[in-house]
Amino acid sequence: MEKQINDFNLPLLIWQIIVVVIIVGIVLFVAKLVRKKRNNL
Amino acid sequence: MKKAILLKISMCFALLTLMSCEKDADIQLENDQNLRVTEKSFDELTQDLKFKSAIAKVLKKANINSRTAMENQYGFSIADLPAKVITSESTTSYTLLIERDNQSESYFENLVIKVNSQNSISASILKYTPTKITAYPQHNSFTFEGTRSLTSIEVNSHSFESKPENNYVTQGCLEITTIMCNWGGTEHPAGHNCTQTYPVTMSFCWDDPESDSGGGDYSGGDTSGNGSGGDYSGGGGAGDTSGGNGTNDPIEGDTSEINDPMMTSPISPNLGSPQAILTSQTNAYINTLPNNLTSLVQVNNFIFPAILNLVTQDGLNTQTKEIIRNALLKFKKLEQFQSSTMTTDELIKFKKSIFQFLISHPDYDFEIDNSLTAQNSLNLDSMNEFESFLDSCEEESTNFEYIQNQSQKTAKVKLAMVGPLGGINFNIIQNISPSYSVENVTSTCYGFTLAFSWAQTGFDKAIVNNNAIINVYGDINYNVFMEGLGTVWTQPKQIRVKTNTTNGQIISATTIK
Repeated sequence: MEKQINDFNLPLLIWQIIVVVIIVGIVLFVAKLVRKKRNNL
Repeated sequence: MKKAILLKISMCFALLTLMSCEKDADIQLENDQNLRVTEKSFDELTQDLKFKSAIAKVLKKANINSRTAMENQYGFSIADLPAKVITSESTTSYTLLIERDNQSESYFENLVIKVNSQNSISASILKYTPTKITAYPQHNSFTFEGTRSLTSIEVNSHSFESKPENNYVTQGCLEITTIMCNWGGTEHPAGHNCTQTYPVTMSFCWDDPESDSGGGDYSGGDTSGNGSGGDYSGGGGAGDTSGGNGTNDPIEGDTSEINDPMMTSPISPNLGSPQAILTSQTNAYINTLPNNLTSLVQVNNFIFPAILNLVTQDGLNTQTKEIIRNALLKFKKLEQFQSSTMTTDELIKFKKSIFQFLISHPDYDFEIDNSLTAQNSLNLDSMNEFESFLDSCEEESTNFEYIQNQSQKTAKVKLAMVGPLGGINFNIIQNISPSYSVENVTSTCYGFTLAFSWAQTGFDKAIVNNNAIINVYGDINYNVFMEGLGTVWTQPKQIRVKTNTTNGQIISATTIK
């Protein structure tokens, strides 16, 4: 394995997790809205 | 009609069958002497009562299971290689490879013990001094050209209790039958797999190590000499015997040897082993080199073992051949520069270490620069010291990645920020001429780059001795989903990379903040 500088950046990891959770949340919310709208139709 | 055709076909078939039976009979005739060659380990042999009793008579008082005891008592020990047992209708001959402490590699010896149907035992040590020996690993055998000689042991003497020299017959010749095999198109000493054995009788004469006239030395032809060299005719030394002076006389009173000769199939140490094949192939390759390089190997006897060591590790392929050739060329060039203050021993040691170095570092080349002054240079006392210096340089930089083209060498530094998931790659682009000057530094994100981006803001460089110290600056941006939608937070980052301007390799790389 090639040599690298290990500089673990915890804030960056937390930020990336938060963003992923937000995106997943938005996707689920939109999906729920679409399903609700389809049921009403 | 149908019946007649069937009858004809049956007769043809029967005829063919009979003819093939006749062929088998022919083969049987060739081997009709009932000679059988088997190979047995020494442990297996010690279970054989006939052998056990014979060896006890030949080597009295010897603890045959202890190499040291045997070496001390008889001057030789039995090698750890399978022995060959040759059985005919009337005799059984055992051939064992023997070894001596500090034995020269120029010859090998076999102890041959014959037991006939009356349980009479005779024994000889056969010495083979090859001038050319070729291994046939597929037959687990070899062909031999060179000198054969004999030391006969008087087994029935009761004085054979200490050194065997007391019982050596110190003159005369013996007819000894070598069992050969021509399976596979080459004639070689038979092994246990051989189905096409045939006997070749050869004359072995007493070898007087102190005689400088060479009298008694048997100059045998190769083993394919089909027995003509071994055709024994008393007193004259017919065939290929050289010298003469009466040493070719048969051993008196040993008429049984003429009617019922001792049989052997020579065993040579390590022949047919991969190592022996490599040695022979390496020798053959060296002989194809120009004379000045071949003679270099012959004159400096440390060169061949170093080459063989490399070939043993990597095989004799195109790459190793290139390494050997280049190392010899570089060594030839270097050889003219030698300190006059060195003693011969020091010089040999120094040359040896240089050659070893050239073999193990094929990528390194050297230049001779007479303008350098000792005070301004790195002074090392030995090649070992130089090697450790190089190792310490390489240790830091071996795992960094480099991309090199004709004009530039790019050193890559990876800054891992979220483990294996992502980070920043820095590319330090260096011009090869002038000597690894830093041309530019670029950087990009890699891996899982969602929600962050990297913007390099600049770099600076400083040259200290032969090192370039490069600082790279930039910002890590924490973005809303992706770059362009907005940045939540910016974190400045700086890394420092130290490179060697003589070879463009990275010495160290660290983050500063």
